Amino acid sequence: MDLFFQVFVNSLVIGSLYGAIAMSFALAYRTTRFFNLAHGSMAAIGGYTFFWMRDSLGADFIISLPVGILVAGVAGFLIDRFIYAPQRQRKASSTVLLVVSLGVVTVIEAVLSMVFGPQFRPLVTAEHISSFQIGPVFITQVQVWIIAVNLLIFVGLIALLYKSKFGRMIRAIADDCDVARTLGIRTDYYIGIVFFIAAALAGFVGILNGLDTGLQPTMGFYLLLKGIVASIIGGVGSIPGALLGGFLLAVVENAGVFTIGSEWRDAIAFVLLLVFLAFRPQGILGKGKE
Amino acid sequence: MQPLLQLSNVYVEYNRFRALCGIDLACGEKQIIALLGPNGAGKSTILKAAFGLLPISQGTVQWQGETVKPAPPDMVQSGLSFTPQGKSVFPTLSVKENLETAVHFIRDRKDIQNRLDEVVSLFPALEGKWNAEAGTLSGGQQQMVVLARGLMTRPRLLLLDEPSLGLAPKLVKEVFLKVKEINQRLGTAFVIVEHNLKSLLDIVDHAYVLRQGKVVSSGPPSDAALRETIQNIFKL
Ligand SMILES: Nc1ncnc2c1ncn2[C@@H]1O[C@H](COP(=O)(O)OP(=O)(O)O)[C@@H](O)[C@H]1O
Ligand SMILES: [Mg+2]
Repeated sequence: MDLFFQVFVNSLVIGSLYGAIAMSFALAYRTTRFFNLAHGSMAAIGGYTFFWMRDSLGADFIISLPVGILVAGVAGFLIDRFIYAPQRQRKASSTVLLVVSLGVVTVIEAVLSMVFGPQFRPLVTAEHISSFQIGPVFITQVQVWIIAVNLLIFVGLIALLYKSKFGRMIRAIADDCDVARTLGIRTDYYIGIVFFIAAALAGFVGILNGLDTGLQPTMGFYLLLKGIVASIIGGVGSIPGALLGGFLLAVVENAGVFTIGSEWRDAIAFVLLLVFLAFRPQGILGKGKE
Repeated sequence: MQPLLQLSNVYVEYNRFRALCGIDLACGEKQIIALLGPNGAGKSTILKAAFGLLPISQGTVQWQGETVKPAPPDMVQSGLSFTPQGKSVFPTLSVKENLETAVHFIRDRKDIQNRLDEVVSLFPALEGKWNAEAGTLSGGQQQMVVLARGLMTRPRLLLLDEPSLGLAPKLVKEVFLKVKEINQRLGTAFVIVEHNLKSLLDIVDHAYVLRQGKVVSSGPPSDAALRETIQNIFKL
């Protein structure tokens, strides 16, 4: 029974990481209908910036954290502005954009490997690993953060989308970008900000993931794959779907790891994806075919 | 009198395909103008070029007496609105949100509220649908939302591209009567594109007939030559 609770709490933590990356991915996806494979790399950029600020410059956590988030956001904005936006303007197909984004992933991973080395780097410090015990369950300070930040991202994104003028504009652009342009809306300006927000959130996730375990140049792509699975099983493009999908994916993964072994983690994730694609392709909260 | 919108000798190309070859066209204040012609004649291209969605390779666009290089954000704010052809509501936004998107450049909440009140008084049918997702409305109601959204900026001229598309004849008539009513109550001018709708001629002051990127006939709707051209083109 104690073990059950521990597995549950671990699932909450991992599910929060998956959910957070999935929600930020879904924000950009629902606005542009573009499967941005470089989204996870923004997590790596945020993580490495934080790591570099802290360990090479000796900057305080209070400074490294916002700078890491900001650098990731700016990277996401610039990549959209100079790489994706020109493709959109010439009406490139989504397949072309997908391949372009894969190129972006490759470049970012290569640059991170060159600058920081390809090996795994733990970011954990004694301070962050200090854990609480709640009954039979252990949870570290960083893990509490991860759960809290995930919920904060959820509430923040829902408020942004449905309670602000900015949200109304990006929902309109998501519905029909051409019609939005005929109303004189500067669609590329709004899409640029969406990419900034999505990348900044991914950067935040990358930092938290780094503090929980560590960093590797390829971490972003791995995180994103899980985020995409979470997003699809939750209902692609849906923010609440991404949150739920993240938790469901983590629970199923951890239950599988617990019963058949940890080397099966990724296989279990993709089996879950296949099950959904076969029986409920629109995901938990998806509306199905229109 | 200076027309509100005037195109002189306008050429537009798509890649190398010439879609408009020397269009001359004018719409005066408070007028309703029809642009008729078969599919592919260049009707939508004219509206897009006048609004700044397509570059003009030759010729000039004059708006309110001044030669302009049109760009949608500027045109909207200076009183020209455009509603594209096809389903053009934002389907997942509520009716109210659809109307609000049109006035994205206005910050004053009270101003926006006044405009909403003004528009809803013109479209009593939308009153109870305020919070419904626009995509759930009937085709006729959606077309009314599109018209209402176009009026939120209080345009002096509204460009309508095939407002009849996908509507039953009775609803088309309703849309045209609404256009006429708006024209008379607010003094808004309209340029309306249609494929082949003689019922449109009942409400317009002037009509242009297009074919292969050229104006082949124009005149008041009662004009015999104009009516004959329409007859001939659509019999083919
Ligand atoms: N984006 C485009 N690219 C290339 N050709 C186009 C494009 N849009 C329209 N055309 C061509 O321009 C001509 C005029 O089109 P359009 O203005 O849409 O006609 P209409 O609205 O009168 O049916 C047509 O021959 C059409 O095939
Ligand atoms: Mg057309």
